[in-house]
Amino acid sequence: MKITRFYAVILILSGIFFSLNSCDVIEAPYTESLVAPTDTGDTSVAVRKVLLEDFTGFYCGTCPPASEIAAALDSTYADRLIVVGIHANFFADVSLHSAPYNSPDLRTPAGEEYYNFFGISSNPSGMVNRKKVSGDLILSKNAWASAVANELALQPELKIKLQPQYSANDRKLNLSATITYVKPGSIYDKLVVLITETPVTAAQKDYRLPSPSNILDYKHKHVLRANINGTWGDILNTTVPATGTAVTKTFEYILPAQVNPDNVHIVAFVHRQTPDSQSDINREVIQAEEVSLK
Amino acid sequence: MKNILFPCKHLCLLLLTLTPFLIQAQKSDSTRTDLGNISGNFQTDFQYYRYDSLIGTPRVPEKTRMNGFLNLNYTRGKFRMGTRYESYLNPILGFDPRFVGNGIMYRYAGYTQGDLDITVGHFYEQFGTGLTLRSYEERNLGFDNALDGVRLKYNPLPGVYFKGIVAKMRSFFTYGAGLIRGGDGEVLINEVIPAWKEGKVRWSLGGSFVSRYQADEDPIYKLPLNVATGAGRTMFAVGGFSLLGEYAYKINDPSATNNLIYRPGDAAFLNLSYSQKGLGISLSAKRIVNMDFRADRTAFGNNLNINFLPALTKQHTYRLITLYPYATQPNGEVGIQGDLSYTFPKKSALGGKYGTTLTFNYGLIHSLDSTLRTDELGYDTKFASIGEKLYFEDFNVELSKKWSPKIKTILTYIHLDYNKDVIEGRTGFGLIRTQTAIVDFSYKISAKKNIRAEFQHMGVKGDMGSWAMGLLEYTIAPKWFVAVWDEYNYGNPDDIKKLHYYGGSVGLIKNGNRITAGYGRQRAGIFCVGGVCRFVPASNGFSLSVTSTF
Repeated sequence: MKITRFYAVILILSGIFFSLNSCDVIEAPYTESLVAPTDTGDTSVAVRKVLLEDFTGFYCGTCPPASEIAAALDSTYADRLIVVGIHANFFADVSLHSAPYNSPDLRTPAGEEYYNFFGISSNPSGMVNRKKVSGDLILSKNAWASAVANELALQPELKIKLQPQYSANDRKLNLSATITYVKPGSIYDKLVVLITETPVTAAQKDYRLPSPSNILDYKHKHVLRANINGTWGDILNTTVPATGTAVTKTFEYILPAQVNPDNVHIVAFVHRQTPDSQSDINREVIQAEEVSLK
Repeated sequence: MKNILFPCKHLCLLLLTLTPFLIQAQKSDSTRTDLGNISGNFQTDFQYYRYDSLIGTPRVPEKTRMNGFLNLNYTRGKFRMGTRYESYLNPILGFDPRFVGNGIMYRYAGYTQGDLDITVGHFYEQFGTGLTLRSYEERNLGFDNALDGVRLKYNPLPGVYFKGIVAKMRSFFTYGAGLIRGGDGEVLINEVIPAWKEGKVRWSLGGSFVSRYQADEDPIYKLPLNVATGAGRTMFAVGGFSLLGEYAYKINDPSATNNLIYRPGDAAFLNLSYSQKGLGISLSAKRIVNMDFRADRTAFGNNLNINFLPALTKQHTYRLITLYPYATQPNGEVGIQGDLSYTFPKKSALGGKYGTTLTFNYGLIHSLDSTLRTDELGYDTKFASIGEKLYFEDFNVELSKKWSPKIKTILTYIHLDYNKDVIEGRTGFGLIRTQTAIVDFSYKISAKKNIRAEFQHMGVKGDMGSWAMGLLEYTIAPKWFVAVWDEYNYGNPDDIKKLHYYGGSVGLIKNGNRITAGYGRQRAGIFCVGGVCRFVPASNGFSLSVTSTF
C-alpha cells in the first residue's frame, strides 16, 4: 500500500516536471529556407513525382488561400509536383449560385466521383498522393507542404513517359504513355490519364475581400477538365511486373470544345488499388507525370 | 489502426476477458457472492433519404444511412472495465464522413486501490473548466475526443487531488498525431485546514498543465515540437454567493486554425453567482485570445480539440432560433453573460395559486481590440479594452406560469443579433437581426394524457428572411407520444424558396427502450469552423431511432 502511494507520488511529480519542460518557444525567424529534395535513386532512370489534388469551387470563399499554397509549392518543386484543381460538389455547383457568377460549370463526372468516394466534406481540402498522413486522407491546406516533402523523399517505383501528338484541325490527341518499372510492381496498378487547363478565367469568391467578396475574372489554375480513360483508369498488368518491365498504353481523344488547347496539360498517374477489406478507399498514387499538350 | 482493421478481434478479446466473470456470475446463484454489475446502453439512428429537388437535397446513392453504438460496462467492487462498439454505415448526412465504418474506439479497464485510481485504455477527462483539457463525447453531434492511454488519480490527503495523464486523442477511427501529457491538482482548503472545516466560507485552488508533442515535418516553418498550456483556478463561496475564476496561457502554437501565427494565447473566465430560494443570479465574463489547441496542429473542423472554450451564451432549444447558435471564436473574443431567474411565491399577486417563474438572460460577444502585425506573431491586443465589432447579442425573457392543475404556459421573447460573417467565417451576410416570440401551451386532458402546442414566429432582417412555426404534441403517459410540426420560411427573399419544412414523429417508451419513427423535411445549412466550411445538405425522408438502456 505504502509502496503504491510512493510510486504514485513519484509518477505524478515526474509527470508535472516533464510537462513543465515540455514547451518549445520559437523565436524569429520563423521560417526555414526550403531545400530542394534530395534526389532518390538514379535520376536518369526515374524521378519521384507527387500528385496534389486540391478540392475547390468558385463559391468557396476560403479556397483561394489554399490555391495560393498549392501554387507556392508548385513553384518550389517545379515539375516534381503535379497539381490538379478539382471543382466539385456544392461549392462548384453553378445551378445553386447564379448571378453574378455566371461561371462555366467546371465540375466533371470524375471530379464528382472523387469528391464523394474519398469523403470530402469541407473545402478547401486536398490529398497528397491519396495517402493518409497520421490517419487522415483528407488534408487541410496547412498540411500539404509537409506531406509533399515526405512523399518526394521516397524512392520512385516506376517512370511514366508521355508522348502527345495533337492535331489542331480535328482537335484530336494521340497519346502514348509508357510505364517502366524500376522496382517490381503490382497487378493492382492502374493508370489514370486526364487533362487540366491553366488558366480558366471565371468567377471566384474570396472572403479576404470586402463583401460581396467576388472576383469575376479569377484565374483558376490546373483545373481538371476531363478524364481521358475514366475515373479509375486502366489496369496495367495481369501478372506482377518485374523490374524493367515496360507497358505502353495508347489513347485517342477529342478535346472538348470549351477547352483551350493552348492551355492544356496532360496529367497521368499510377495508383495502386491494393485490396483491403476494411478500407476500400485505398488508391495510393505511386507516380505521376505531366506534359503540355502542345 | 488495428482497431479499424480488426474490430472483431477486440470484441472477442473483450468477451474472453469477461468470461471468468460471467462464469462466476452463473455460479453466484448458489453461492450469492458479489458478481459485479453489467450495464450499458444502445442507440441506432436510421435514415431513409428521398430526393427532393424543391429543397435541393442531394441524391444519396445508398438511400439509407445508419449510425449506431453499444456501450457495455462491467463493475465489480473496485474494478471496472468497458467498451463501446460503433457503426456508421454510412454516417447519416451532417456527420463527418470520416466516421465511415465499424469499430471499437473505446475500451478501458481500471480499478481503485486505496488512494490511487488507475485507468488504462480510453477515458474522458476534464481539468478545471476545460480551458486546458476537456475530453468528452456528444454522440448526437458526432463529437468524440476520447483519450487513449494511462490516467492516474491520486488522493493522498482529504481535500487534495492529483491527476496525471499520457495519451493519444481519438480522431474518428484513428488517432491524432500529437502525444498529450498533462497533470491537474486541486486543493479544497476547507478539508485541509481543520479550523475551516465547519466554516461558512468554502475555498478551493487548482492548477493544470497540458503539453502536446508533435514532430515538425513542415519544410517551410520552424514549428514548436512541444506546445504547452497551463492554467490556475480558484473557487470561493460564502452564503449564497459563489465566485469561480480560471486563467489559462498557451505558448506559441502555429496551426491550421490560427493561420500559422506564433503569438501565445490566453483565456480568462470569471463567474459570479448568487442563489437563494426562488432567486438565482449569475454573471459571467470571458476573454479568449488565440486559444485553439488541438492534438494535431493541422486538424480542422470539429476534430481533435484538446481544450474547451465555453460559448457563454444561452443554448436555446426552441426550433426556429436554433438557426442562429453562437460558436466560440477561439482565435479571439470578449464576452459577458447575465442570468436572472425569479419565482414569484405562490399566493402572491404575481405568483398566483401555483407560482410564476420569470427568467432574464443577456449575452454579448465582441471582437478583441487588436491591431494586425506584419510578422508571424499575427496581431497585438489590449487586455482592458473591447473591440468594436459585434459578434453576437442575445436578450431573452421567459415567463413560465401554471394557471391551473391542467393548464401551463411558457411565453418567450428573444432579441438576437448574429454576425453570420464572423461566426460562420464568411462575408456578404453581415449582421442578422432577429426577433422571436414563442407561445408554449400545454393542457393536461387527464392524468395520463397531455397535449402541448407551440407557436413560434421569428422575424429576420437579412439572410433567409422570416419564419413561422407550429408544433402539436400529444402524450399518453408513460408510453406514447406523437408530434407534428411545420416550419414555414415565408419571408425568404427568393419566392421559390418560400418553403414549408414539415415533419412528424411518433414514439414509444417501454421497458427502458425508446423507439421513435419520424418523417420530414430538414433545411440545408453551411457549418463553418475556423474558416473551413462544411455543407450539411437539406434532407427529406423517414427516420427511425431506437435507444435502449440496461
